[in-house]
Amino acid sequence: MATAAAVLPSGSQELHVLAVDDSHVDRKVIEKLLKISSCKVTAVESGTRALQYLGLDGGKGSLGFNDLKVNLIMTDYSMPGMTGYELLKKIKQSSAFREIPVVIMSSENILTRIDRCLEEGAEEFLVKPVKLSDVKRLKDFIMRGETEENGGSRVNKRKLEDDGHPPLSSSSLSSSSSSASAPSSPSSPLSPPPSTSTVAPFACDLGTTELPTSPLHSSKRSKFCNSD
Amino acid sequence: MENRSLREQIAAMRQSFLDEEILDTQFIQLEELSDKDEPSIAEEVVTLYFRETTELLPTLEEDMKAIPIDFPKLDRILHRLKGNSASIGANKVRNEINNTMALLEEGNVEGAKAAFEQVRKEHETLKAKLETYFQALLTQLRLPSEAVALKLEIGAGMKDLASHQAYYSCPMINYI
Repeated sequence: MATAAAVLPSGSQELHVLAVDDSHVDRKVIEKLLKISSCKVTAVESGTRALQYLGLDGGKGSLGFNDLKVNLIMTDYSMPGMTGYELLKKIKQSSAFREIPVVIMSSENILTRIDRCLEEGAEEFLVKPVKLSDVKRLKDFIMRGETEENGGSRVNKRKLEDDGHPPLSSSSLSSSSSSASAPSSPSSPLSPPPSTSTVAPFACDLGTTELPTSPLHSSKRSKFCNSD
Repeated sequence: MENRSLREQIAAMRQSFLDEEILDTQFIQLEELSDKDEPSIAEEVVTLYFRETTELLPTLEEDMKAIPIDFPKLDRILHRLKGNSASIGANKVRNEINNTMALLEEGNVEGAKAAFEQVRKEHETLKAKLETYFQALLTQLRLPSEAVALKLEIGAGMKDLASHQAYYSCPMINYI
């Protein structure tokens, strides 16, 4: 989206997404959707590989040596070996990575599965095939999440509902993954779980060199205010 | 029909895929992912699909003849096949897979085998049609006068023509 692109001051501020899917076809598609949405992508074929990449398997991983901090993890649910659900749990159990938003993708729209993932801390459950609009909305959401963490009430009012949470029930969200919006409120996508602290649960760890705190946020805030 | 430009024929092919419900709008979404970095991404994804499925199908056939049948394994493979088919918009193939899975769930193995034959048939049909389609696209893009028209044609449905120019440069179509 143009807004998000305008917000990022330079290429190094692009969201870095780790995509996990055992299907080569789906990996290629999600990779393209993310690239079109101006995200950096690392695509791996399994939960095990994902953990290796993050360095959660005991090894050093590929992070830490450069600015490729992961801002979002998108994982398929049904994978041989480690399922997306199991990967989600491992990430949420890790103190280093639990703040990274995790999105589950599945070709099956099973209510109990959706609930279970959201309860375990997934930000959203997307029904496959994933569309460009899903990715763009997700990216916008992640970017907004960072702004909210820093006095988001001054952000463009259109983006916030009365309760201060992002407009999860707005039509733009319900149009995509329509089946996922059918469940009742505890499992509605993108809504923060009740146990959350004041910090938005989807906020990325911003204490990195890649995403400086105050300068970026104040510029983002003003850009959101000025846009549309 | 004879004097129709290649461009028109391609558009007609695409439309017939949709009309006959061989492919659904997911295929169009795939085509719309083309840009100057990856101009033939739709074809690449489709190639990946057929490479994977061409391996899976004989395995499935064997597994369905096994005694006893490993139902969970069959279900897993069929599920994977279904997912990939949905990802490229292979509507009929996916429907036949659904039929097969439903029959297996009922324990109707003979019925499932017959349904699986339909899966293979639809898969073959799709493969042949898409080979023709991508070949036509390739040929069409080698005609200088047509190249511009094609960009406009495919771009008609896209919001931003400038960033999603669909010019295909992939030299070979090989699904094996």
